[in-house]
Amino acid sequence: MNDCAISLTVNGVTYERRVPPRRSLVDFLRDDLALTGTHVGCEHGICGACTVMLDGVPIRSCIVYAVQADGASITTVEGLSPDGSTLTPLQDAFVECHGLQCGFCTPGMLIAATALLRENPDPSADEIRDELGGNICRCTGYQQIVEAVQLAARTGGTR
Amino acid sequence: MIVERPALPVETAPESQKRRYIGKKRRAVEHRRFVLGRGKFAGDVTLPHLHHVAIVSSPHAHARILGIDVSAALALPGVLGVVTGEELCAQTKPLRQYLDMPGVDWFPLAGEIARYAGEWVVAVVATDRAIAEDAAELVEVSYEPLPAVLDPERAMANGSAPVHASHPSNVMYHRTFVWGDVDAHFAAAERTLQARYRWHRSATVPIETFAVVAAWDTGTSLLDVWASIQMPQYPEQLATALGIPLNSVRVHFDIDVGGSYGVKRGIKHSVLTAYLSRRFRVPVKFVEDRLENMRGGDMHGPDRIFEVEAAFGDDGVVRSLKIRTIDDEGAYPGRSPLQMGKPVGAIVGAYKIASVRYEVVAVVTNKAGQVAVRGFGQAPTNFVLELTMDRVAAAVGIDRLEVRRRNFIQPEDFPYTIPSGTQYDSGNYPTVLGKAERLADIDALIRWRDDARAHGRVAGIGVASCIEPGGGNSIFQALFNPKDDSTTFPEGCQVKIDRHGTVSAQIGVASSGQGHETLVSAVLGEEFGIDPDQIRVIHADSLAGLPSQSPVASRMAIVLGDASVGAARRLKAKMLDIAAYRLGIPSSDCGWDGTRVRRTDGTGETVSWMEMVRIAHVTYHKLPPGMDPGLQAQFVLEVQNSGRLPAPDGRVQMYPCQSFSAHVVAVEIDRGTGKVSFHKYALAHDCGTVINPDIVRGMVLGGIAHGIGAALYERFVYDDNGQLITQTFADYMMPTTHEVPPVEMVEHETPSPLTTMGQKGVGEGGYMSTPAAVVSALNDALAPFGTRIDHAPATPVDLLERMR
Amino acid sequence: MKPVDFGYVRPLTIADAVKALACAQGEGKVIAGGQSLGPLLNMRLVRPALLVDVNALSELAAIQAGQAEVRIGAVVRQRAAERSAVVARRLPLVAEALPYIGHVQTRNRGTVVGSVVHADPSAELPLVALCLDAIVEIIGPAGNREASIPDFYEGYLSTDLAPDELAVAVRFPAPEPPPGVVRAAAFAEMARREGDFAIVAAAAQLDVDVAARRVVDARVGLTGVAGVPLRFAAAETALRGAAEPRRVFASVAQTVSDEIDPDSDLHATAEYRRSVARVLVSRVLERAWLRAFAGENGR
Repeated sequence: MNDCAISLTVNGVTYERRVPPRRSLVDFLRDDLALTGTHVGCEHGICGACTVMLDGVPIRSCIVYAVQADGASITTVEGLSPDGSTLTPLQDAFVECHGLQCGFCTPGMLIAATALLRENPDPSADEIRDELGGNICRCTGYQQIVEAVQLAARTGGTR
Repeated sequence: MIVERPALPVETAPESQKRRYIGKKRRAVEHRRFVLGRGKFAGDVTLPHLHHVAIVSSPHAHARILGIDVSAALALPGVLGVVTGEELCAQTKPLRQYLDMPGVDWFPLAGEIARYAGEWVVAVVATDRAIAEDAAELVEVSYEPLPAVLDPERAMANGSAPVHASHPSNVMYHRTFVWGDVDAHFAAAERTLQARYRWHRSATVPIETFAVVAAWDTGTSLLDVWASIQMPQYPEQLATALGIPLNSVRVHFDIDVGGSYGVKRGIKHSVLTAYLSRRFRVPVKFVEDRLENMRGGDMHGPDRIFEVEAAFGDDGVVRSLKIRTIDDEGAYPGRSPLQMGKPVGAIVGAYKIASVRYEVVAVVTNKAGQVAVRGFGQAPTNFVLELTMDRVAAAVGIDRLEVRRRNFIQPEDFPYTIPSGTQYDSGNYPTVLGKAERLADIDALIRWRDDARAHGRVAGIGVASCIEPGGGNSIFQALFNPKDDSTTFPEGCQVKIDRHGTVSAQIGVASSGQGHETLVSAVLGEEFGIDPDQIRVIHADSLAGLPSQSPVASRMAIVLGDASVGAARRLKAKMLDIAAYRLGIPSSDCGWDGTRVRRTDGTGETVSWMEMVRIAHVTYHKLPPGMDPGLQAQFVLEVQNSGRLPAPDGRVQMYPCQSFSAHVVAVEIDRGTGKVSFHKYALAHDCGTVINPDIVRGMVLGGIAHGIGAALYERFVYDDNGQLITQTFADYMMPTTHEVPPVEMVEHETPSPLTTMGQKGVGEGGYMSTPAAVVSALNDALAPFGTRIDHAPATPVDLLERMR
Repeated sequence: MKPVDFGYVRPLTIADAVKALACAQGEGKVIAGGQSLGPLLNMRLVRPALLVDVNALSELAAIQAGQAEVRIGAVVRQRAAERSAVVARRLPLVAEALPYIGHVQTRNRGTVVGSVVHADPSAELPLVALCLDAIVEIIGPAGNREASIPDFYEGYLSTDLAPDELAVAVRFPAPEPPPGVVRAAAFAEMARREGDFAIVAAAAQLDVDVAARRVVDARVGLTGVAGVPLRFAAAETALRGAAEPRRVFASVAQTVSDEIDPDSDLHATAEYRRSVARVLVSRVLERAWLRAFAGENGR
């Protein structure tokens, strides 16, 4: 048995678990912690559906292994809302601007957009497209997503 | 033959002119759960004792399976069992295929023969997916490679290696339709032209792969299935393949589907997983990984060769068309050849072409199978139609937009029956095209293009129009298979007003982003005069739900919309009777006024919503005699203007409603690299009465993005050994934020006379129009070089070659 | 797509990392950013017995500016290098190339050294390392050694790094140009989409005597046209010492294009790569030259 003990904080809650080293961070979040908001699209780091914050920085959780996240602080889409029910301005903007359809890429988009707005509270459309260039959406054609991030920038960002 | 169908109860109080909710901006009700990360996708479903599946697939494009040794796999701790094709093919019935192809069987696992590289051969069930994959690597399969055929035209030839030895040839279907006097029109034409086009294999590839959880309950003899599904008759096909009664299958449609755009048809994944659950008596989950999906999921799209001839005048008016299409189905045709059938319903596009000869060939090769893709064959068909119109314009030296105007079916011509027998319900193509031109500021675009050219840059403007049929029916089944006489294609809605007066509705489909809960609640809110956000819409499972055919064919606004209206009006009629009885007057002396019923004799007396609810649910003694208690109504709608078999010559009413769009695109091609960038993308769109503007816009923009992918980036490529070399997202290129430009869109509403609100369908149109519009622009850009593109995708290599 | 079973260690010292690799007897693999390795692990194309995670080696997380070089440790993220004022000032070619690598999220995790060592012949940083005469600093059971980039790259995805060795840093020579000389760099890439691996990418760095309008030093390279990145000595020689060199950029680009012998593959034909190589070399030379005078990069 190869399992390693890990301790990490996810959405503010600390978890101690044993995991096989080969378990990806996204599989750990989804299967071990039942946080199914983060999605798996490709398992080779391209589609961005698995994007989570690791120590404040958006990364692809399908190509990071849970053991590597020992000691780290993770934020998933479930952790964006302060109470799991109130929408942040960004979440609200996605709803208002119809910045999603099937919802599968949405968690990754929200995490990437959250990171962007923290660093750049008033991004241009080009800057938004740059930051979200690694998150593939097959439903929206991106335009309503860009509009959502722009609206969020005007209405309070990631507060 | 007149087909009896329940008539929609006529609205007695004409207040429909002032709509409160239909057509108004409104937030989709589904969105909240998705932004909170609380969507429920099939891969999220978990059950006690859940086991997982991994697949062993064939490395060979064509091979006889000589033997399979599973002993090492079985010995791995955590492995519950292993199933080979030999067992599965004996224990289940073949999967449904729609052509008449005796001896051509399709099972989830290969039996004696593997017919494409990537075909599934063995399934391993284990306690987790990683262990299942470990075990899959330990399975030893010995193969005898057989000759493979990869080129569809070679596969058609006599003496080609057979993909299915039991079938006389690799041609699974070949038919020529002739509508109108094609030969005479060609003989009399002032001009003709010929062109050959190639629509390479791609698909709409959702980010979520197919996922299914199956749990066979030995206590209830019920098979529960949760799946990422968009497929008509999914429960039925499961039941048939597994040999169990249909009322032993319960498909849960309250699963959020992570994008489908046609392809989430995983019937083989589902039959396999359900079989494994029954076999090993545990719930089983199968989430395809991306490699399994790309290579062996049988989710590729149309793969076409077209030869087109047009007969036209010096004035650019097209009299007749000949279209021959060869479709490379892959090894198992399934439903995909019917994608040559559906385009029959718009075979002349928006144009008054008088006659058509349409020849279709479905051929099998040693590649993965095709599946229904957004547009169901109309994206490639519209591609060649529109590019041919461009060629006509070039031949006669008339502007491409003007040629279209000259050929358009005119507003006064509706309803208009095209040569293949489909009646178009309504449309105003010249107006919509005009709106597109103005939105695009076509004169400014021309100045931009000409200025770019003067500075040595390569720039072009493209145009495309597109008919987007909506409503769905499966009459192409009967068209392509005389043994298939199915003409029923219904959709149902059940509405209840409960004891507390709140409204809920049940629909029988899973949604993949189209916002059906939002649609139905808006329609019901409009009918009842109550806030749509107070209306609950749930997705019934297949045992509890009404007949339904899944959200294909841009149909739901049309059929589910009208089914919802129908159910609401039945309920309103009942409530009216309750109120009238309460007032002691005939129902004809009452009418609805907002959420109350008011007597129309001027006294102003009303019965409130809650009074009617209470009478229905609580005070039986006040209920009209003989009336059922409670407030609930069902309405099952056969799709409008349908229900009739095709004529012997193939003339047929395909879908009832025709939406329409006109696209104007301007592109620049980098002279040194062949890379394409967009300068402008504008369109005008007409789907009749708009129910939710954001949903309509989203569907159009999303379809355009898919269309850009098909036009410039996406292709499934097989090498000479039949290996799929575009297996990952590193090689199968999907457009990102950088490749999809901002799109300007203007709406026009030409209501349908066939639907209660005048609504038509939306969903597939962008994908059916954009490849034509983009390649039209590329060809305009290449015009100074005297070269052109007649295929999709057009890559930078293709473009650089043509700019030498 | 789950990897094979592997063991995992995250050593806190370099010595422990080396020891762990040695114990793995050739079956160990170093993971830093994981952006290249992760997909290979998930697809089971790489099947280590042990993963040695170097992300805790804090002494390797630094960008060190020396008198005549800049040393980038193995754990420095591409994103950190992108934001580094030192890199912008002292290594303009690295700064130019970084935004072309993948996407923001992959650069958040991927490392500079990792990309150099992974040696993908379509990647940007191996080309830059080659053009700048970078040195890979390596520690193994036998001790420390250094490898110069041309020697380091042996062929398609292969380097002379042994399975029990750890690349701890890449050292980029970065001598200050003499007074009156401005160093300017440019990078251009043809990829199917933004963020993809290059079909062809070109790098150019020019040291320009701005008063004399003369090229003092030139680096010219291509990636995506061979199993390893390529640098063009003949082109560099033609440019070195040239005054008003714009009139020779086209012919230099042509000779570069004539010199290469690229393959055809899924994404491009050999002829396409040759054509685009010529176009991109022209573009980067032009851009670098203009930057020298515009005060961009310009140091």
